Amino acid sequence: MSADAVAVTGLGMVTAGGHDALSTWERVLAGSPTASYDAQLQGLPVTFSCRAEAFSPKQVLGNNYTWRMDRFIQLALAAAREAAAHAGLERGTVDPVRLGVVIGASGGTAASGAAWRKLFENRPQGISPTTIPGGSANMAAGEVSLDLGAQGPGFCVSTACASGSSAISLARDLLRSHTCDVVVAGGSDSACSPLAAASFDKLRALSRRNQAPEEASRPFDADRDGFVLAEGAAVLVLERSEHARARRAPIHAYLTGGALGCDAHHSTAPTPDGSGAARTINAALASAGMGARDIDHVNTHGSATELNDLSEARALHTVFGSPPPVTANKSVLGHSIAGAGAIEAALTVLTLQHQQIPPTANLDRIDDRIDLDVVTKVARPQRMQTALSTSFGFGGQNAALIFTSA
Amino acid sequence: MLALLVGTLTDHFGKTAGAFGPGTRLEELEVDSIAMLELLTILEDDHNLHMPDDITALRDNPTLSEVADFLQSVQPATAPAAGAVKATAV
Repeated sequence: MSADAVAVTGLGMVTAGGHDALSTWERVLAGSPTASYDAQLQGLPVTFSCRAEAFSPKQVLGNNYTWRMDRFIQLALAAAREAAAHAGLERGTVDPVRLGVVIGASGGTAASGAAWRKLFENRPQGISPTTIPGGSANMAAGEVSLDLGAQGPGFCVSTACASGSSAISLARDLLRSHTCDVVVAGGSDSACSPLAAASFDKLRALSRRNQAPEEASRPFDADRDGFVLAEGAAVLVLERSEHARARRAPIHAYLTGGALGCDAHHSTAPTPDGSGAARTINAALASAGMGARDIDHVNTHGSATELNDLSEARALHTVFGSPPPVTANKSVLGHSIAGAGAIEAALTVLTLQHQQIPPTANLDRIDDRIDLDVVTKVARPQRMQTALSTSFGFGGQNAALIFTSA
Repeated sequence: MLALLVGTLTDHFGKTAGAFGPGTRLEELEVDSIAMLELLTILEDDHNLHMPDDITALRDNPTLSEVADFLQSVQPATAPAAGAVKATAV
């Protein structure tokens, strides 16, 4: 790899699969779904989600972080701390002015929900001063910068389900332009709030398999009925390989390509022929100086909505002709919206490191309109040099990332 | 007033009861400007205390007992009457 190649030197994750990257990877590798009954959704049409139950903000972050910020910020902080430790990014190891933070987020609903309640009760004096700084989408990046002492560019990317992968692609641009030496990038969301559950249900986007939550998230399966809401965060530490080598940081993989694009087709539905997704994948390949034949594996968006699954399969056929083996991590972890793309990027790095493709859970009978080699039931050992990870969001906002083995 | 402060710091902010007292300064308790505003919001909304517009007296890292003294000093002479006025205004 060239000196300018972008290296992944650390990663952190907090998901329904586990409180850190390793436990999440093991859960995903086992193909064991995390969806379960969610008491916070009681009385709603959908009563289950993939909640990061093993994550205790009080235990991990301390009392001073529990009352002042929404859960998506807490999740981002925990994932960023793990990633920074993994990369040996202690304070003083890099120039803080050259350290950037980009975190994909949707913004929280808990703080604003409490504030609306006070307004309805005619008690504006009771609105918490944390309502804005504790819930705004930009504050995941803001709090992570504060926590790491990062004084370089810090900002939020909000492209719905593509936020996390968009953040990582933009971080790559910050490094290749030499705007930053190191960028801490990822995504975070706590998307299983009652408001999100009720609202996505109104769009008929969610699975209503209340009687068997663990079987609900079924990407590419003929019997799927929508996606499953989740919460989670993942953060990568990215730096040019020359910088990583100079400070003797471990290189886990390279982020060889990344691109963003937009369908400009419909506010929520993807282009039926997958042309928008295909354009973004091709742009990512071009940014990597690669062709379709260089990709050994695709970590799909795989949300388990009929519209996404069909559109994504068509996009992959457009780009690859005969696509390489694919998987869909949302079958295990659900869909954490702004966190999902970053989680799947981190899992793609681990897939390359371990040379094993984690299985897609719940795929019993593939939709007969989909002709893909989906890894199911058990992990598949495979020699892989390069893998693609895709994310497609509302607004037609798409992102694609390409990782290559170290 | 001091008991109310201590109670809010333990119940809402998760501070360890018994680990701090009247002489503890806000910075030692990691009560920064946002935490201070949150504390005042709870006292005003849940406990009907009057909050003055001017809180500059609380700016220089006071002790809890100094905070309590200040809050006491800005309450209207007859608290119940103030509460009654507030209720009729609503």
